[in-house]
Amino acid sequence: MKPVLLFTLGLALLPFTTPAHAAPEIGNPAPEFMANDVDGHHVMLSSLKGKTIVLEWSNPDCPFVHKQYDTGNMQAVQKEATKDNVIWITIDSSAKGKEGNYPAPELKKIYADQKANFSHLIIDESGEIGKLYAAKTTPHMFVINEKGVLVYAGAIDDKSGFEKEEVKTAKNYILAALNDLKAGRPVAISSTKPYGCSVKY
Amino acid sequence: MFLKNLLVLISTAIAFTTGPAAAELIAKDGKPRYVETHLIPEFNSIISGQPLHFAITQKHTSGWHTYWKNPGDSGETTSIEWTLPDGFKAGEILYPAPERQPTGPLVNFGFGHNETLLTFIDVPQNVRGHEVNLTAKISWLVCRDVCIPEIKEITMTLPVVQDAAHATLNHPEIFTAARAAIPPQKSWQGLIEEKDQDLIITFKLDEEGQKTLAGAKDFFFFPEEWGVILNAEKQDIQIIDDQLIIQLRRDTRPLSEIGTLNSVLTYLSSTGEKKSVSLSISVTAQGASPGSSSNLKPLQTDETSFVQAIFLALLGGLILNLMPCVFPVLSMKALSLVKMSEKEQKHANIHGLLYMLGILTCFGGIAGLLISLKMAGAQIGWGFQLQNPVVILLLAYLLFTMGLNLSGFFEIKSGPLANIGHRLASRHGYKGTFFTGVLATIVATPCTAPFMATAMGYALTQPPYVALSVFMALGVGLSLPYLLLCFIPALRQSLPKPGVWMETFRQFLSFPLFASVAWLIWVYTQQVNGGYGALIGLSGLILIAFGIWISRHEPVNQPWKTSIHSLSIISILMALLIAGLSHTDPGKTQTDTKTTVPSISFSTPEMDKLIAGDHPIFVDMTASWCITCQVNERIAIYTDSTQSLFKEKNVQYVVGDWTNQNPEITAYLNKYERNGVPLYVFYGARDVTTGTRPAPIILPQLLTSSLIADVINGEE
Repeated sequence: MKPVLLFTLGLALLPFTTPAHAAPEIGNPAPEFMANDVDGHHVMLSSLKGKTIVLEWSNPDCPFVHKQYDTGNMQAVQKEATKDNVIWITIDSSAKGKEGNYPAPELKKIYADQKANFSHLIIDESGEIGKLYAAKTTPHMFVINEKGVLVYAGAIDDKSGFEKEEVKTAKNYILAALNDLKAGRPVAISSTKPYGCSVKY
Repeated sequence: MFLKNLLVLISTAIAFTTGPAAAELIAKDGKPRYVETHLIPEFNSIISGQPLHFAITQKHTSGWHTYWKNPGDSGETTSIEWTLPDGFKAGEILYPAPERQPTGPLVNFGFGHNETLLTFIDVPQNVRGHEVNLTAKISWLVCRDVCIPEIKEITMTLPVVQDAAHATLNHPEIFTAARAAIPPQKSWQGLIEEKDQDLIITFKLDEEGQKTLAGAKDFFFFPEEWGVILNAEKQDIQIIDDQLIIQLRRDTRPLSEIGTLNSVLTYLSSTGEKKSVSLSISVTAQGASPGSSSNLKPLQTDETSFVQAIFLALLGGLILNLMPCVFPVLSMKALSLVKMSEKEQKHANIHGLLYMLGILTCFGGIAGLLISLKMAGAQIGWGFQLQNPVVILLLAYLLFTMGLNLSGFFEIKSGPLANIGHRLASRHGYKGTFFTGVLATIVATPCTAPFMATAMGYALTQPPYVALSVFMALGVGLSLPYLLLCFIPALRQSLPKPGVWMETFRQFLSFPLFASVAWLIWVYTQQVNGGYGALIGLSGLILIAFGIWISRHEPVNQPWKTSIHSLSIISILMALLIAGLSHTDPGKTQTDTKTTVPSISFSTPEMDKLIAGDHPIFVDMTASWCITCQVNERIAIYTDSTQSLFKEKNVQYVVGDWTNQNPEITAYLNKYERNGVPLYVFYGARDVTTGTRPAPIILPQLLTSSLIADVINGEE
């Protein structure tokens, strides 16, 4: 029995590793999070089951975010989505003191001036939610279906440059994913390379 | 505020050359920028039919960086948009070896030290005219802690010449240096393999390759494709003999999206110089032929594997003979040999082989079923039979009946039990011996699951032929003691002489069986809903006993004979009916309240959340029917010392209960190459300085409090 024990022990202690920030996988349940938004509303992902959810990582000082907001493109996509009862959550994971980090009233005003149409704006200074989703860039987009399953992760569109005119000709992946969900189809493009500024953790 | 960076957002400069000879290109706007960029043609003229190369020089302001072809976790690569006359064609950008640029938990790939990029345009034959106008718009993103996009538009007019003799070189030293900095392409044959959460790439080094990398260190692997690896994670790169083995943490983008994985490997040479090579691995070709690895030695971790698992299974099979469910069967078989004479050696051999054949057939059947269910996509593992209360209760009936038989309550005249304790006088009973083998396997299953998880787990993640071999090895181990007794007369001689003791011993052997029944009934009560599990199960046993008893008292005369006969059959049928009607209660789980640290019920999202957090995590995968799990929980987990350690270190105690089917738990077990419980995994606390967790530790299947303490205190 002894050699078997030692042997099992040896096998069991073989090094296995898990990445610290493994990205959530498409087709798996989206990681749960809870937070208060800038208006003080409590947002809990699991309590939103039954609704389609879009997560948008944002940083008001990132040129790629500007490209989307200054052209009105992001607001239009938000409007289109929320019109269909999609819950749109914009998250700013800039750490305290880093670019894009503002107190709640200021951040609220910045986006209000831009006429943003999201459902919730969350300040994630600790980067907890960002790291949970392995959000890498601003913008970095996630779509979660009614069952709480992650169905899209990646870029906002297929034009990764920073010239503003590009948004006119770009294919918007979020609208495409939401259309697929609406039609009851599987999301055709479920994973793309996120582009933009790094999230300022 | 929102517009804070807008001023610097787009600063387009229109630069132009003052003449064909001008190498220095002056930016018209003269605005400050973070990267000073120039576009330098290799020749001062366009040569018909010969591509013209350009150097894109970059002078980075200290602390700012631009990006490689694959920018890593964020950022944007430098691009160039040409406006060219008809017939001209723009070529791609060639990059020098990138650097790793950590920013918080992210890692980017790029440049920060005045690196020069190269590109070219294809020039058609017989270019018309004396001069050609070229316009290039170069865009790049430059970041420190913030990112600024920069664009520079450059127009140049170059005279056309018909051959190189009439052209003069422009800054040849820049081109020589830039070309030397491009990683040379190597043709080393690479093999790519996904294993758990790792991506393992193995290159076979030719002689030149071995020479190139001799004494090299500080390797880093840069894939040109996004989403293939986790850029911020540790890379394990080493050279073993003639192989370069690169072990990376896998990101989630499917490899099937990538045809060829181009990459750059940077390293410090034996002389301490920064060097790099460019490597290509065909991904799709390998997907098509998984057998193409034959020319490469498998990795060390792979060798865990086949031989060891077979060996482990064989040993496990041997040990199974001592289990309370199997030991009585084997003993009775062995006793029957005691009475055999020398002359009957041939029969003994045949019996031995048939017994083994019975076992192997049954193992093959179960393994085949399991493998085909797995291949059909069912989330099940070894021990799956025991997740069904019907099977549990039927097993209890079977063991109970055998126990009654051994205790002398009744005799069985035919079937697999019939020749237990009887003389193997002739070739009669061959069939019986075969079925005794089958029976031994069936009664062994409750004991197999807890003890054989490692070998089984390995087996089920392997191709079917490997899986079957492991199961067969287990069967051979189980049948080996009896087989040896049959084949070696000397061994039989050493058995005690036959006598009255045999009957006593036989009766004694019923008790291990009854003990197994008690355990199965307990498992059954854990699985079925309501509080009536014990009542139902025990009633079943009584019905069985009654059915058997009454059939022994058959009156000779009709109609009594028929009615008593029917009564016996009815009561046994009722017992079977009870078993058949059992169904699991999904809410009924093995949540133990004895723990002082509250346990967290396992689920994949919960687990993801905990792993994303900072606290250490102890995962306990268990099931009611798993004896090892129960023992471990009593002697090692629910002890005062372990519980107070959990409390002290803020260990999150996660319990996954696999008593009934649970696909999430099965998936988790698979991740650790297991197909059964117990499985104990410890995730160390997140390191505050690096922000990462240490690699999870898999604990042995037999635990002690001190072992848990060592692992938690990091002294394993």
